[in-house]
Amino acid sequence: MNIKIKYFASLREKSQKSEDLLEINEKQNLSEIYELLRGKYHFPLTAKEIKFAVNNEYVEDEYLLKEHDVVAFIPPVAGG
Amino acid sequence: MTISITSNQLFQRQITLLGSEGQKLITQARVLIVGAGGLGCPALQYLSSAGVGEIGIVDFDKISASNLQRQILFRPEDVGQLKVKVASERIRKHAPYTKIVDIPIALNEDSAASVISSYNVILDCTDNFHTKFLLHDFCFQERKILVQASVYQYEGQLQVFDFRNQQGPCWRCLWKIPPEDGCTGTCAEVGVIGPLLGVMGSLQAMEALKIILEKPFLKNGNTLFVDLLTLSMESRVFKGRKDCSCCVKKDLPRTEGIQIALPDRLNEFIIIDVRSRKENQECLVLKGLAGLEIINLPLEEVSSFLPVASKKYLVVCSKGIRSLKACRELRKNHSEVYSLLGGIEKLG
Repeated sequence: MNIKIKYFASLREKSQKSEDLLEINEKQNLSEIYELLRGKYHFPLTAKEIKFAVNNEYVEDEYLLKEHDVVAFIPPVAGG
Repeated sequence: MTISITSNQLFQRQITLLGSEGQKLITQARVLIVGAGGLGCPALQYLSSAGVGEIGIVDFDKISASNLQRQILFRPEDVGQLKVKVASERIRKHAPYTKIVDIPIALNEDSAASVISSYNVILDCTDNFHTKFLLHDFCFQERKILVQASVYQYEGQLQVFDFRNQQGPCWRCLWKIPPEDGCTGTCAEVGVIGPLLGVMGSLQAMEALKIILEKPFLKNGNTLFVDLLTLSMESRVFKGRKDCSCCVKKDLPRTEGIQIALPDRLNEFIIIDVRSRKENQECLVLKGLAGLEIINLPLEEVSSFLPVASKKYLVVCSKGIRSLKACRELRKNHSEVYSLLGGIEKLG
């Protein structure tokens, strides 16, 4: 199954990209996908410290992904 | 040379767009800007230029050289001065129809309710999670509308929380456990691009104007993501949480019950003014209060005061901050002591 990943703020900074295309298996949940990418890009935050959104809605970890979903990984932001 | 400009001349383009009724709403509005930094400067400039009736500015920080790249109200010669002082002086010169109130303090549990109580719309232009959650919780408690923005490098997020009816979704629905300060880089650590603050602060000003003008504004449970690198604006929606500590359980900040708004039967209270003797003697509000028992008890003398068990006391000061501190001290000996929310002007 193919999905698109969007990175925000510190995650974009670390990965040096705004988006990724990813092939996943249907059993992988959002935390597992994030942790996989965390290993690849050395993200400092754990899955519990960020928010997930799919197709412009914030969702919980157990959300069932579908083909071509757009997943956003959103770290907390407080600068001003 | 003094140039006199009438309000009609000053706001002509706006009145053309909004009508005199719209301009009247702006003139009657009271907006509080918390944080006079990157977000606060443009928000302040646009809202004062629009003719908002009163703007309060909260900030305890001083201007540093590294601020000037994005806090464009400030100049090199201002370095070392208080941000609120410089910002208010500058704004008073270009916005003659706006009352600017300097509030040079750090917002905390004791000061928040008093500071926000007399404003309709609160702009969160702060830069840390602790203050953002504090402000959010107090806006919920005091039934205010909060316009919140945050930035990171080239990206910004905007949220509006209308708490007039104490309904969610609120920010704690999204963040059950608030992020810790330091979990993500600050502007000092990771850098930030100047125009982003202009865009996000202007968006906050725009949402504030929409609220004031009774036009539809960003709803609770929406985050607007702005990315200046890709020039994208995307909205994402979050739902309320059934066990939310704030908007469902209403586990509110600890000052509830100690601070009160002006009581209906003021003559049941003995008023304790904890300001200095000079402030007390020069106070026109107190002079206008006939038939009430008023004690002047400067803050440093409060610990030696013994309340009468059968009496109720209302502690006052200029903003409601010293009075809350005094109230906590007096409550060690007597439970019927309250701090007047918003300060002495509420008695006028």
